[in-house]
Amino acid sequence: MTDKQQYLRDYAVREWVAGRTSRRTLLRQLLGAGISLPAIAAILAESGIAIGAADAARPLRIFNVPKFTGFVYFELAKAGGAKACKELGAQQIYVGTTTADVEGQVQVLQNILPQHPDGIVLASLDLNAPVPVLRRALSEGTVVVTFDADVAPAGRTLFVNMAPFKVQAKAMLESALANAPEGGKSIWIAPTPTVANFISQKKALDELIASEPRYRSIRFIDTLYANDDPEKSYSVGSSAMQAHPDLKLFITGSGISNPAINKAIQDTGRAGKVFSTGFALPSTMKTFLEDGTCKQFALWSPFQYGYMATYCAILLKSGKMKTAPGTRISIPSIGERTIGEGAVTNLSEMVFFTKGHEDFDTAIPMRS
Amino acid sequence: MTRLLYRFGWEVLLVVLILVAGTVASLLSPYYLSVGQIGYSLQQSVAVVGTVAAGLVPVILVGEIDISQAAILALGNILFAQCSSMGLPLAVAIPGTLLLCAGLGALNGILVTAFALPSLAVTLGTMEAYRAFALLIGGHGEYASFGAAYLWLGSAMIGKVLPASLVLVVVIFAALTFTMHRTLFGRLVYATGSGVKATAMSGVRVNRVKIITFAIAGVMAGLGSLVYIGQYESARADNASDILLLVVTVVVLGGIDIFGGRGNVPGVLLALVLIGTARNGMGLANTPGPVQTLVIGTVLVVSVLLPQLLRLGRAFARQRRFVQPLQPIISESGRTR
Amino acid sequence: MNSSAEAATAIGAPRLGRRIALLQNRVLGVAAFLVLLVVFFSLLDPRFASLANADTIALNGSVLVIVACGEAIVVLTRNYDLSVGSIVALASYVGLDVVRLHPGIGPSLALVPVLIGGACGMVNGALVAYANVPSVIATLGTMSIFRGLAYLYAGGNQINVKDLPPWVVDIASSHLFGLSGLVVTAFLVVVLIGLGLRYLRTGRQIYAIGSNPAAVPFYGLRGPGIIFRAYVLTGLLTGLAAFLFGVRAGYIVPYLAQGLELTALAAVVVGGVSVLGGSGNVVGAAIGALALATINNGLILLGASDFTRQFIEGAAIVVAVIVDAIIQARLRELLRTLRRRRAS
Repeated sequence: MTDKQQYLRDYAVREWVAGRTSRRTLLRQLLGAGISLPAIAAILAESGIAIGAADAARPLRIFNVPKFTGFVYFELAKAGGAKACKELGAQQIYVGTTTADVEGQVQVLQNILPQHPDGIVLASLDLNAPVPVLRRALSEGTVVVTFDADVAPAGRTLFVNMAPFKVQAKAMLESALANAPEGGKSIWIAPTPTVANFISQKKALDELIASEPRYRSIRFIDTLYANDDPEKSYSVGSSAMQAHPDLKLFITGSGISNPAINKAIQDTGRAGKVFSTGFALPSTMKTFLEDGTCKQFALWSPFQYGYMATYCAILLKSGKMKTAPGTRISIPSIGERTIGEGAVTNLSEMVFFTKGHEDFDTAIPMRS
Repeated sequence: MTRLLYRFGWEVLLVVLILVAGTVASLLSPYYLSVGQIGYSLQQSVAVVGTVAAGLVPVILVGEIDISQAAILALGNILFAQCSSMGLPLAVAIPGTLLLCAGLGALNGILVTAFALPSLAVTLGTMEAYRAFALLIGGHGEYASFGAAYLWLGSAMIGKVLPASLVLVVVIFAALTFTMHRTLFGRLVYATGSGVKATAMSGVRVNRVKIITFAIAGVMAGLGSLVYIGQYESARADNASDILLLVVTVVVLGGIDIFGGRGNVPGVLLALVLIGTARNGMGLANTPGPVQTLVIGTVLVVSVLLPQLLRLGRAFARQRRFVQPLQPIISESGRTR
Repeated sequence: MNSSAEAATAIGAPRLGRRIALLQNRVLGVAAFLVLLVVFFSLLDPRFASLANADTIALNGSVLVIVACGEAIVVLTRNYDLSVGSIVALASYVGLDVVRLHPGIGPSLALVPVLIGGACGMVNGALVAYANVPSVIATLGTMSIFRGLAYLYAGGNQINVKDLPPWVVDIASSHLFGLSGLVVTAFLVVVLIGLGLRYLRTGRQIYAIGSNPAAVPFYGLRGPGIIFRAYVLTGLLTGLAAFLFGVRAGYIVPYLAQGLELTALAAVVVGGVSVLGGSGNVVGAAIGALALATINNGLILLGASDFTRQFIEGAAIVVAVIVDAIIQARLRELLRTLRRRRAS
């Protein structure tokens, strides 16, 4: 390659890497410089690797991988992540499978790997399956931040929990008492028996009930699995109400099961006698708050959640944050948080939704 | 030359499509074109699907279908993981798992042949039953730690570049090609698929042939589970729930006639590479999930539609009518529909 | 359908005739199965045998009944339809979105999901009937295509029932003679389709092509047309089920009804509809769907694990198919005997 061609090549690649030109323009410029096709192919292959060593002004690329696409919760998290990227001058790429397919999600991660991501923000479907891929990513310098559902610690840099499980349990129990102050028989609904989050939540719930006299009136008589499917939740809920006529409460951390079970309660005319609460998205529960089928439920803002996770990822990648236990981090619009043992931190922004406080803006924050 | 082209036309088409897909992929994303990347992605996306598809090929060639392979894979996963957690040596774990999976496959075959049952319905039932057993043995937990030797097949790289699982897939397909195209058993499989009645009347034990093909499908699912554990380092009772579409697409795209009795095995390997390349390319270009699903579904339909349309077109071109009520009932292959 | 039994009686062999009639009546078997299930669960848990519980089962099973009716029509023609779950997702999301965007037009818009289902059925029908694509492959492919379209249309959103005009909810929660509107709809569907398959020309043609596709051209019938019509009918029924599906769950998402096709197939097979085609009727399929809903309900009542439910479903399918094969073989024997007797 002549000097002139080298100069043109460097210029074209630099412009493209910085995002100022498109791929098509890159090809046109390279072809226009008279560089042969095999050489162009080599350049394209190289620039994939060279990106890491390129201009410091290049924006960081953060890949956001939800559990599955098409669900409002993760769409809000995506929007939050986009806001964080915009504020810090990074670029967000949102990619995922349409179903809760463990192998599919791992495949998505495998396809992200060769693109030399700077950060991966992941809500994992399985505790262990993505770990081999993530380990490879970590070894190549990628920052992996998990949110909503963790992976084994060996596979990630940081886990942003929505709140310590004790706080989550407290939020759920408070909502339960707000619906049925005398407590009573309760059923725990989870998607499948293997989702780690729900196992930890149930454990925290049991511990809290055993230790605080306030919650002692709530007695769990069974655990049922509804696969995060609205229809299954509906039939499981209606069958369970048949099986236990004196059932008082359904408690679940699944935002998909809650509205469906509320609908089942409504349809079978048991509104006011049985309540379904826990976590749910306000957009799906508005009707039930308005007509009193559900008096209170809890959540955190997925928007803030995505925002915090992505913010941490960008800070970690640019070296402005460490994950040693005890580190204090400060995130705009959220506040100060500490990183605990095992590189875990918390969003800790539980809010309650009741009649009259039905949006994220009007929700009542929880005071722990 | 034209005779070769006619006989291997489909395979040549597949090779052309692979090159096209590779070119499109490398234009869509600069990260595609690197030996290490291609090798890694092929290993990850092609190894398990390829092994399972290799098992499905004889079953489809014989004129049946097996949708319970994913469940057998999950059960194999659980068993293999259980062996690992009990600290058993590989020399016990591998044959044990493969034997069990072969047994499950043979059970499918026995149910189908003993009662002359339609294989789709039977394997629908056994799929659920096998998954239930996986749940029973594996419980609701997940196995996460395995002896290093157990992980070798799915994750090892020979010479840092060549994934061991890809070598396994190639070896399996070579063995399958040899079996189907060069041995007596293979000839019997093709014969059974082309016309069960005629083959049975020739004195061939058709039932035995079918049971053996189902057992092969089971063994391949078992091998697939060995690779799976190496790749994902986790075993759960609900693994591999969505693999069916890919496996069937690969087999059909590979030129195997779904009615049985026709098709070349190397075509399936080519189809595997094609699908792997397409998914890799789409993934690197960060195509949204729904679009990828749509593409795979369309590929499946088109890969069967195209030969049919060509056949119809040829008949039309020869000035024959589409529907001929007085045509002989029995077609050349002994099928009525 | 009982002409062989009548012929047997006519030549003076009433016992043979009775036996043939018994075996040809596929509904008896599955009805007996359902009764057995109810007795079994009632004995194990008295709470099962209450009217309220029956109402729950009916409510939960009614949508599956409609889908099973649709699937039965296709299976009767010796084909499969694996895309029903995706058609439900696509029809319910797009259809109800149209309803949401045009709240003023009123209940006639309930036809939109039905028509979308019909359109999907036409695609399936065209592929299977006219392009000669094997039904397993065609519907496996359209399963992904329809669901992909549903996701693309939804674009990450969901539809909440509260955004829909009130007449939608009214339909879902309406009551007629104390029975839920859903149950009445399912009942009407079963009755209408059952009668239609028996007495309408299209229905008898569906049975014909399932029993013996080779003989169809000899009767002057056009095979592809019959199969196309069968798929379109299934699509329309699935569209109706999609409307009820979405309204019941409270909000509509593109990942609704995953795996519905296998449950529908299970209901059809358990309900005595032979997968070899031409035998069985939608009443059986409906009872099969109710049986599956009963198993689900009963197992929750008993607190049984997920394993038990899956195993029972799988075993039920295998047993049903084996029983079907045995019945078919026995029928063939009896009919051969009948032919011999008539010849002599």
